[in-house]
Amino acid sequence: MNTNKLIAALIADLKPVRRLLPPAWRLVGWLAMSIPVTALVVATMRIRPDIAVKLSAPVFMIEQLASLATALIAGWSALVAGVPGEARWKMWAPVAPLAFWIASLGHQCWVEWIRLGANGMVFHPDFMCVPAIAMISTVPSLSMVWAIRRGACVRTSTAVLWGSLAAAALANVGLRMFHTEDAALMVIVWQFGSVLLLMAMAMLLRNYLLPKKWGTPGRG
Amino acid sequence: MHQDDSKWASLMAAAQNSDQNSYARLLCELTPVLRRLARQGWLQGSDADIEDVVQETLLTIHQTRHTYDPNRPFLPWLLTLLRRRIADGVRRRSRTNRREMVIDALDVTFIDSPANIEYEPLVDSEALRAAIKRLTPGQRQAIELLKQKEIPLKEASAMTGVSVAALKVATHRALQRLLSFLAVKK
Repeated sequence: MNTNKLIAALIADLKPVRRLLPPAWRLVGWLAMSIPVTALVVATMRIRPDIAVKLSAPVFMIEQLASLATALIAGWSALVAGVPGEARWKMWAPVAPLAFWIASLGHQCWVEWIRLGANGMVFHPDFMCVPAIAMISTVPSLSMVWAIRRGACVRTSTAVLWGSLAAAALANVGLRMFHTEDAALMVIVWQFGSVLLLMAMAMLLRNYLLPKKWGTPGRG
Repeated sequence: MHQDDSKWASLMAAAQNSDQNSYARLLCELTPVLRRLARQGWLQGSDADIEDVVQETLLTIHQTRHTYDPNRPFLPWLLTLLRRRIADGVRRRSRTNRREMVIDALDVTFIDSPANIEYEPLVDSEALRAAIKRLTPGQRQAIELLKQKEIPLKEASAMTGVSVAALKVATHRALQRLLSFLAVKK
């Protein structure tokens, strides 16, 4: 098609649009949808009996805060990725809380190793972590995909990577509230492993989740 | 270009509110800029490739115009979209090049020499025009309508009032005479 004809067609198709809200506001919307669902799942599964003790334990709190910070910043980055012209550093922002989360898990593991030695490192299959995190993260994941699709079709891999991390990290916060597995090695392998598995699955399915040319601008 | 940024930002803000005049002005001003930047970003791209990138970028601007925030600069928003479309274009081109083979367009149709246009005797167009002038008015009219303007026989008959059969005869005779005038040997 001739470029002038294309321009004429685009002008003829012009309709008012609803501007995309800033990523921070969209993140608030995502949290407003995801946190009640996560809380509902935690309540349904029954909060762990030692929650009061755990909430007063700095190690548990640091790990939970790191996981929550990862969810928040990764969610924000996923939404920023769909806005053309945003600074590149914003795409790397989730690396910091993620590294902090990994470091807190690694530190716990190291402390247990020093305290208990090789014999004290408990490891056994705990397959419930994968479906539990997948179940809790269903609504956050779907709402994140919907939010990402409102943005532009740019940096889709980054958006899916951080979006899936946000949903899985939030689900992990919920899981730790009712699942009584605290051995560092188990948490790393099964819980953090489930987060990585869900991210890998989302990346494999990214072309289906975010097709190359999606939708039309929001109508005003 | 930096002076244009605020102008383009306000034009886009108006376009978001469905102002067609602003949108037309914006797209018309952006098109040559996009063409130039696309050429700078893809030096090996052909003219058709660059035009494809420009058109894809214009389409993307249209589809994602709701993502532009008028409080932010316009150029980074535009350049992100253009860079994505250039990357798509380069990827598409390299994929096509892997699957397709470029073959020179030759005039040869069959191996037999007389079948090829390069062996046909060249006719001087001036001589042909002079030969047509030497035809009778009826024959000249038949040649002009049927051969030069390539009008179908029925239409030519309706236009001139001459029967189809008479036109065929006039054309045949005119061609015979032209051959003799130009002395083209088979």
